[in-house]
Amino acid sequence: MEITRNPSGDTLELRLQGRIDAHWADYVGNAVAESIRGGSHRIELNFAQVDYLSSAGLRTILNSYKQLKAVKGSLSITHPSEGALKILQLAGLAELLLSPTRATAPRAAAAVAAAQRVDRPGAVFEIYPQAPGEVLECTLTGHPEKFPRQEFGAADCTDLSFPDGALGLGLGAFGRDFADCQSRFGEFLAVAGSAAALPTDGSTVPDWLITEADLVPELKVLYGLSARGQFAQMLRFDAKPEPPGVLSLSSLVESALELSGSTHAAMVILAEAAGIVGAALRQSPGQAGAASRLEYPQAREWISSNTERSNTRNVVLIVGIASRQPTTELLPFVRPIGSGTSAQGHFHAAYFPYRPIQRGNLELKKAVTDLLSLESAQGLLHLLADERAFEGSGQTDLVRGACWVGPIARFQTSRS
Amino acid sequence: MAVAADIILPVTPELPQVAHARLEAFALSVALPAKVMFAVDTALEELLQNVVDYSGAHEVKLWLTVEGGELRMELADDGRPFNPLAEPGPDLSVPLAERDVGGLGVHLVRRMMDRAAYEHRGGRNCLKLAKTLV
Repeated sequence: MEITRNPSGDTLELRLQGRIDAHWADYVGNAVAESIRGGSHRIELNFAQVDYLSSAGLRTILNSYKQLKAVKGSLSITHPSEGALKILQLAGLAELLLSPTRATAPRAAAAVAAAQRVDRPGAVFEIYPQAPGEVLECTLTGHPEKFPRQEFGAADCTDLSFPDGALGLGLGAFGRDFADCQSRFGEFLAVAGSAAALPTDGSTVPDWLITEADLVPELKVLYGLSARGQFAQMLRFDAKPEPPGVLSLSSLVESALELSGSTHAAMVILAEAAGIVGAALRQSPGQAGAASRLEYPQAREWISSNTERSNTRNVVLIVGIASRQPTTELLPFVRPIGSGTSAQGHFHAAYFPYRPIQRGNLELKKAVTDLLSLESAQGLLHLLADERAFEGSGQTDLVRGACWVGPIARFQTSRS
Repeated sequence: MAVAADIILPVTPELPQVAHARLEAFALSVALPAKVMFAVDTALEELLQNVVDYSGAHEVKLWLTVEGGELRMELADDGRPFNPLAEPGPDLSVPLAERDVGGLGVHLVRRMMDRAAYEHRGGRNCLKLAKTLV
């Protein structure tokens, strides 16, 4: 089995030569999966030199077809050999998989034309206006400066709810009251009517709450950042192929602030990640005597090393706030994000098994709900940049995705 | 004058490839038309992959001959009793994109060959298949 790649515009043609039987099916499936990871969502399989196709091969191709259909991409077979055509017809799959002519293939041309393309360092952006001119209200809750001293008590516990149209991040837990949550406080994030918190009771996977009917996710929060309102823009980004081939979180934040003309902004990022660098608490800061400070290197939970990044793909859902000029009230909540921006920020990320993200204009609530209905989060992290010269793990690197960004007009403080 | 091949093959993950090579050699020796070869190739691949994946068999007897204007193939394995011809075909009422392609292999075998018969005999699954030479 030989596979030749032949890209043309937004379509990738894979020319296959040989037998696609049970023995070679995985090889073909992997080649398609690798192409999808490489960003190709329109794939044509040229079957001119496929002299044999078995049901195992069909299964593989049908799985790839379904995966691409789920992201509004396409997979089709072109120029089938006589034998392959017969199998496709007998299997009842000819109509589904055989491409009409390329000219009649549906295109999302209108949507792409509506987006403005901008070339930025490390990535190409498409700008999709969402609610132009809108700004977000940001509320600061609690005293993060107490964190290193482990001084959180019942008086620091605030109720925050996150309906659709609100986002947030910080330290919190799902529960009745401070006592109920005392041993479980950990990182949380909330967006589009869904919220996740990583309990510090030994769990390694976050708890999720998704808005259903009138139930709005509510958290007991020790400290947090939350914002309400509509995002002004959505940015689609694709890291440029030349090295490093990825876009660091700090570079993305810099571009998002620049393109939205914001001093302060809230962001939600849904992206394919090549590496995630962050930490998660192991013990609740609500418990007396808990030694749970984020320190190098003991408390850090590394998710990805710098090796073989292409094999460590995940999908990440990041929620955060960034600012070029943090106000006095905001300062305790933010830290430097990493080289690539002078802005400071606070970002939490939930990460999931890899799945391609649909291209073009995405609706935030639908994108988040779809992700959560299909995949379980593997973890939740407070994102960090570790840019020490030798032992540092760098920072979170993204390949492509969407970033909803909304300028923040002002910060208000809700202190308990 | 009938030409026949009578082969015993051990069941290993490579069984379909090994059998394919033997079928090709046989096809060459009897100048099997390409269309017939394709049909038999398909049937053999699907049936043997099933044997490898599910049967628990140790060996497979493969018998091939050209006789009476058709290619005849017989497969006998010592695995669990299983009649592939009794399996339901794919559920054609399900929308194409959502259809599970399970059962497709056997469906292909039935459609590619002209005649098929199954019997369980002497502790073996025996499947007889024929394809008319055209």
